[in-house]
Amino acid sequence: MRILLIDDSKTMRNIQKSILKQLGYTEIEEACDGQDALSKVGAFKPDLCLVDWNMPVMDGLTFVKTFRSTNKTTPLIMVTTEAEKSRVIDAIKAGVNNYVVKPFTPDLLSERITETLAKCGVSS
Amino acid sequence: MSNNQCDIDHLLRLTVQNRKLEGVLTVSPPERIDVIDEPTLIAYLEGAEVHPRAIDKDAIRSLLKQLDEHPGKTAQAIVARGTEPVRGTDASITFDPSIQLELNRIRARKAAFENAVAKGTLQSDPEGENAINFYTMSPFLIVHKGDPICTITPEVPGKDGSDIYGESIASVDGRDNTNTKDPSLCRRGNSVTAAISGNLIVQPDSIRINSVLEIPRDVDFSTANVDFPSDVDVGGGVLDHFSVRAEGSIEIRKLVQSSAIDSNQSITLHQGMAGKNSGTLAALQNLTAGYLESVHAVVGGDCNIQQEITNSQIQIAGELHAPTAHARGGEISAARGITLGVIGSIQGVETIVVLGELRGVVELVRKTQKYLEQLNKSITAKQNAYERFTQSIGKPTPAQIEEQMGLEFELSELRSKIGKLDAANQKLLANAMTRMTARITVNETIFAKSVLWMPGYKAVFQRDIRGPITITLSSKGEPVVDSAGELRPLREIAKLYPDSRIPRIEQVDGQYRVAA
Repeated sequence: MRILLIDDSKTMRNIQKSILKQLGYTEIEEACDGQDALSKVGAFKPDLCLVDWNMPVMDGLTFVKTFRSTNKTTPLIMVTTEAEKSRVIDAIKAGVNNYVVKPFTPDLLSERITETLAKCGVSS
Repeated sequence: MSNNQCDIDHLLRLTVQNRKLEGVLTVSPPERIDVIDEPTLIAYLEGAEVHPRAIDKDAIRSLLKQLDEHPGKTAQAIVARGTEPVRGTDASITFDPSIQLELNRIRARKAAFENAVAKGTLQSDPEGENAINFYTMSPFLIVHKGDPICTITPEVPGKDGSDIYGESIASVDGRDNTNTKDPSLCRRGNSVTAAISGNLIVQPDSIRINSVLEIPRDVDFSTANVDFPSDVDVGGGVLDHFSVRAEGSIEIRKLVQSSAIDSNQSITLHQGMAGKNSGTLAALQNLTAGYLESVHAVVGGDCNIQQEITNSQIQIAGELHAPTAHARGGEISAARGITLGVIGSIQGVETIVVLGELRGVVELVRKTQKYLEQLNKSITAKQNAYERFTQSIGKPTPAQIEEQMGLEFELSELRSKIGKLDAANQKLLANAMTRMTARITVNETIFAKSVLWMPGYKAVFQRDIRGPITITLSSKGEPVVDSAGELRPLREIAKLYPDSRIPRIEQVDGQYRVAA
C-alpha cells in the first residue's frame, strides 16, 4: 500500500507518518504542497493520499480538483483544520472520499483510513 | 609351371621386428624372375597373415625396384608396419592465480630467509623495495573455506596400437595423480575449492588443507606473525614482539614472551607468559596458564592459573580459578567470582582484586542511566511548554492547532523512547545481575596492603589474614566474611569504604536498579 502525504508542515507529515508506520504502512512518500504532489503521483502511483487544505503554491482543494480530472479512483482524505460544514462540502464536491479535522488522534486517523479504503474497495 | 616361373615361396622370407610392428621381407632370387611383382608379394604377405592395412605398398614397389636394378642379388625392405600405441596424458593442475602468487611469494620468502640466516642478517630491519619483512610476511599459505585453489586439466586415455598381423597392442591410459581428493578440498567438475579454512599444504604427492596450524618450534622470524582462521598449536614458545592471532583456539607449549596472543576461542599456555609489561592476551572464551607475569589480559570466559599472577592487569568476564596460585601486584578483576591461593606478598606489594565487575556493562549501565535522566528532563521541559501553550490560547488558529499537535507528538515520541530505553535498561541490569558474582575465596593468605573492590565497597587489608576465607555480600549487600557458614562483617578484618566503582544492582518491587 503506497500512501502519499501532502502537507506543508514537516511536523504534521512526521505525525502522520509515525501513525501510518504503527499501522503497518511502510511505503510512504511526502509532498510539501499540491504542485509537489502532482509531480510525484506519476512515479509513485499512490493507493491513498492524505491532503492538507491550506498550503502555499497549490492548496489542497486545487490539488484534489486537478488530480480528480485524471484519476477518479485513488482514495483521497482531506486532513485539515478547516472544520466548517461548507468547507467540508466543497472538499467532497471536489472529489475527496473522507475528511479528518485537526487535531486528530492516531485512533481517529486510523479509523478514517480503514473506513475510506473499505468504501473505495482498496485492500490494505 | 611356365618358363621363368617357379615356386617362389622359398625365395621369400618374412621376419618381424620391433614388437611385431615391422615386417621385413627378404627376397633372394637366383636369377631374374618376372613373376615377382607387386600383387605376388602382397599375396605372399597376406598368405603370411599380415593385415592388409599394415602392408606398405610403396615399400614393396621400392623393393621390386631394387630387384630390377640388381638382378640376382638379395633385397630386403620393411614392407609392413603396425601402429604404435599412443600413451595417454596425465591430469595436471593449474593453480588459481592468487594461490600461484602466494606460492611464489612463499618460495621467495624461504630463499630470502635461508640467505639471511646464512649471512646472519635476520634481525636487521628490512631495507630496499624488495626487502622481506620477516615479522609480517607469513611462510604459510592461508586459505578460507570456498576460496578457489586450482583447476584440473583431466587425464586423457591412451590409444591402442596394432602389430602387422592386426593384433591389438594395449596403450597406457593417462592417470589422475593430482591428489586433490583430500576431504579438506572440494572438487566440483574440474574446479577445486577449499572445503575448510586453514593452511594449504602443497607437496609433490598431495594437496590438502590443515585446519590446525601446527608450528613445531617457536613463533619467530621463521614463522612471522601468525594470523590463522582456525586453531593454532605452537610446539615451542613465542618470541618478543611477535603475535599469534587465531579464529580458533591457541595452544602454546613453551614460554611466551612479550608478544600479543589473541584468540576468538580459548588460549592455553602450558608454561606461561612473561609479558614485560607489554605482552597481551585476549581470549573470547577461556584462558589457562601456568603463570602470568607483567601481562595485560582480557578474558571473555573463565581463567585458570596454576602458579602465579604477578604485576599483571587481568580482566575476566567469567570466574578466576586459581586455588593454589599467588597473586602479587597488579590488578585482577573477575565478574563471576575468584578463587586464589594467596593475595599480596609478605613485602607488602599492593595487589588489587576486583569482584563482580563487568567493565563494558557497567559503562553501558551508567550511560543509559545518564541518558534516561536527560530524557526525563526533556519531557518535563516539553510538558511545561505544552501546558503553557494550551493555557495561553483561547480558540486556536489552524497554525496553533498544528503547533499543539506537534508538541503532543514530540511528547509522545519522548515517552516512547523512555519506555524502550527503560525496558532495555531493565534487561541489561537483569543480565548484569546474573553475570556478576561478588564472591572470593582465598585458601592461604591475604597479605596486608591488598585491596578488594566489590559492589558498593572498597576494602583495604591492613594486616595479614590467614585463610581459608570467603568474602561475599550479604542479602542486604553488606560485605561479609563467610567462615563455614557463619557470617561476620568484613569491616572486622579490613578497613571498609563505600565506593561506587562497582555498582551494586538490586531488585526492588520487581524493578532492577543500581543501588544508591
